[in-house]
Amino acid sequence: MSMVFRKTLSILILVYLAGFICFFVFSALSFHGIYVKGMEREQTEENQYTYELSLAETKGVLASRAESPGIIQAFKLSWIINRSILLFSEYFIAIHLSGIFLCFSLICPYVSNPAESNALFTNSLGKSVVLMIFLTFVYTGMSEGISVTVRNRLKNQEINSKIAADMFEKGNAVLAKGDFGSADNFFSSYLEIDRDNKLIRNVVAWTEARMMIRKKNTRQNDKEVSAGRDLDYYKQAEQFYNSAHDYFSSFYYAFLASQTGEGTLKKRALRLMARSRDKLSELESQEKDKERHAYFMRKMNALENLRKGDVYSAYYEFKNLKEEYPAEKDVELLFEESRKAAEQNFFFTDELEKIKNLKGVDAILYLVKREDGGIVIVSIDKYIQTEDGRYFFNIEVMELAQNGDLLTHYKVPYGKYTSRGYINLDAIERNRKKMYGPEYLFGDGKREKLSVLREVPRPEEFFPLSSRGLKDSGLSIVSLFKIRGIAEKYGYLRQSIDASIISRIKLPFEFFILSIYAMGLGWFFRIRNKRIPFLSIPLIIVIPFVLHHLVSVFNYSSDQLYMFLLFKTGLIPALSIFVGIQGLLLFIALVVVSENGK
Amino acid sequence: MKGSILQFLIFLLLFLSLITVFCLFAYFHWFDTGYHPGSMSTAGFLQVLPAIILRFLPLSIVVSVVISFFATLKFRINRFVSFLLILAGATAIYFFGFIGISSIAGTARKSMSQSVAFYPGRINPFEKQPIYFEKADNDKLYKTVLRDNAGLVYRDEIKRRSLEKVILSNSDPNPYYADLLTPPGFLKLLSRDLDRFNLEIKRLSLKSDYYLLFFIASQILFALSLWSLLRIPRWPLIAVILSLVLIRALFAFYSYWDAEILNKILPFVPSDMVKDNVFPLLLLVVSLVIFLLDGVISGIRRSRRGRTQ
Repeated sequence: MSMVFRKTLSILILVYLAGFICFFVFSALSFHGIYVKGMEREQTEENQYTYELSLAETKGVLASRAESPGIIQAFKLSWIINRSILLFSEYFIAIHLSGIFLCFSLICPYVSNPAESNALFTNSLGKSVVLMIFLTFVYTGMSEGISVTVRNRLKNQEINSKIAADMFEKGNAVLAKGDFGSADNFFSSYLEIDRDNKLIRNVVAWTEARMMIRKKNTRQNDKEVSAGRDLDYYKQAEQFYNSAHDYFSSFYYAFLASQTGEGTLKKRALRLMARSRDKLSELESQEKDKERHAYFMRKMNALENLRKGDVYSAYYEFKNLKEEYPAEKDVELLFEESRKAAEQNFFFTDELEKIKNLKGVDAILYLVKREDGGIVIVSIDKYIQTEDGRYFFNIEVMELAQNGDLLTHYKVPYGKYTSRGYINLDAIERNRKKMYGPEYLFGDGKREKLSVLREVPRPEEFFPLSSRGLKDSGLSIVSLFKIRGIAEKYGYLRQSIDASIISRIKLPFEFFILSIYAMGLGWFFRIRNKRIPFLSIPLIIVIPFVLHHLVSVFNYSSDQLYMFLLFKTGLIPALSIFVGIQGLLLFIALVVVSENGK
Repeated sequence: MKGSILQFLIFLLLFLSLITVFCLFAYFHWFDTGYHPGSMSTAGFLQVLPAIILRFLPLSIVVSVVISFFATLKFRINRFVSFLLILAGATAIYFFGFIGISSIAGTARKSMSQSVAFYPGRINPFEKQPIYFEKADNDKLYKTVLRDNAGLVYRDEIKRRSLEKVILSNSDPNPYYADLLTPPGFLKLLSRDLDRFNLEIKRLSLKSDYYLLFFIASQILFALSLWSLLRIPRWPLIAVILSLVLIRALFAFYSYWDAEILNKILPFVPSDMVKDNVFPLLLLVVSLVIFLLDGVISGIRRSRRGRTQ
């Protein structure tokens, strides 16, 4: 192995290492953390303790920027490492070129005999070029693989930290009001993100304990109240039986007393029920038939609705019947059937309320061309995917005729993606008879019984159609090619993605060509004698910064050129010209290098 | 002598290459940000070319003068002859170039008219207001759907100019390609400093040709004085890096000077003539100090060498 090659390799490794350490220290010093601070505080009145919690922050000396988001302390090490890797990959070209310059302009000429140095340079050229090719592959892997992953990880940590802080603030606010149930929900959501937070774990355990105590107390109170009530019920039942001879009322109150009473009272109530029933059976059967008839008719009506497909009405009718006649087994079975049918046709809004704060895809916009030539333009505020399903918030749809005239325009607050590949727009509230569906702002929407949005993108296609998706730097080049097709299918311009694709494809080429130029220029600007330029040594630190700016200008300029070619000619011709330009630049670089070796 | 002439030729070549590259990329930039092939004809570009050349003239000249120093690595050069040749040549090109191009630029258009390409049947993805339309003519877009903060809005027609005005007057680049068209921070700052520097040149040129000549000569002299500094590191690569830093520092310093210092010292400056030429005078003084120091250091070195021999 030649000396120049060995030196190049070892210096590059050292420079990379130094660069990474610098970025690690920088990231550690610029970490802006947030954490939950709190303590148990004894409450004097009930002789019980409570929690005083707050969100505190910790800032590194370099984290002075106001816009830097707070990251929860649990992510600290991971965030610092990820950030260091990201910075390292962003500045990698400048660091790498600095290493080459250092090697070819200072260290190799210094350690070699100046008289032989040209020969040394020429002899090591082949191996050095091979090394640069290898490093180009490393760089490509880093920029297309590692840095994309790391960037997404950092984004997730930022978003999760925001959600955690939000959950904490909300939990703390309801805790102060004594709403332990809601506080427990919010803090449990916080723990989903910051799993090992002992303080919040203790708080959750404490809120659960307080909830149980409260439930126990409530039950105790209910029992006390009912102990008083069942006697009243019984007395009332006796009164109706003996004085008013109202045997239906006496049966009803005896029934209530038997439900809540215990021991002798219960036995007496049951006896009174039996006597009242006997008396009732002696009465004319007309009254009894009326009530049974009404009950039967309601049941039949609901069943009919269910069979007709009006599951919305059927669900609520069976729900009411179930509440009114809890003992009726067939009502319970029919309610279950109607609920299942409802879930196929509707979805419950509480499913969405639970998840509305989760991270999702925002501001989706797409258009679909229908077979009849019409256009459907869809705007969605937020899309969230969970294990239970895929949900949408605030959907707005415009249907246009082939000539562009507006046919319908509607808004709907909720949507759910179905296994059949369309979005169900009909939502209902579980406990209240309320239905959410399309609200028509223009046109007639009564053409379909059920409101669904057909011709929708596949779940994985929503992100590229969001405001962030089309220009997300955290996408790999493979994803960009996929997105290109999606964007075109759903009404976007292909050129904006084509420009990103060319901009990404050129990076490895630029890396390799700039490396070869750096070798040649480094050798051209080498020290000419065996004296160490002590005055210049401190200035070495400036090299990566200057190179970073130069590389960014070069990168920007080449983007301008390739975008110009793209707009003028299209992707394939622009790529062909791009290959030609890279070939020419490489040829010039090799000429520069070989000329220097002479 | 031959080396000095070669160095001058290198300076000329560098200058021509730089000005060509700057003009070409200005054209690409305008095309990409306006992105309407129809409005970006070559003839249209030629009309604004003088204004572009004027914008990049100072930077190209100063960079070429400083970088031509590195010809000394390849050729034997008579420093004094080189100094005189480049001082005279660069000043002449800069001065007559400025006067000549200014006279053409005076009648030519100052900037290219840009218009926005709207694509029918597609979502034109502007940052905050994506727009769809069915068809368009030169004046209007028809059957449009916009998404604004309130949601989707349908309009039968929208005036094209009202949209272009919003997009083109926006300081952000073309929202289609915002990520790729946003210049790096370094370039933005350099551009801002260059604009200020060019304003000063223009101001002096309007006052008097002698003032302009004096300012131009002081710039070239300053650039030449940097040669003395570039010899100090004894490591050519660091000299290259240093030269780039110094060129950047010149324009940054002028910006700072103009914004922060000039107004504070003007009341203490006695004559109007000096008031108009404070910065050129400063450049001249700094250059002379550098030359003086260089002379002293060279003298000390020579006497040391003499003693050792």
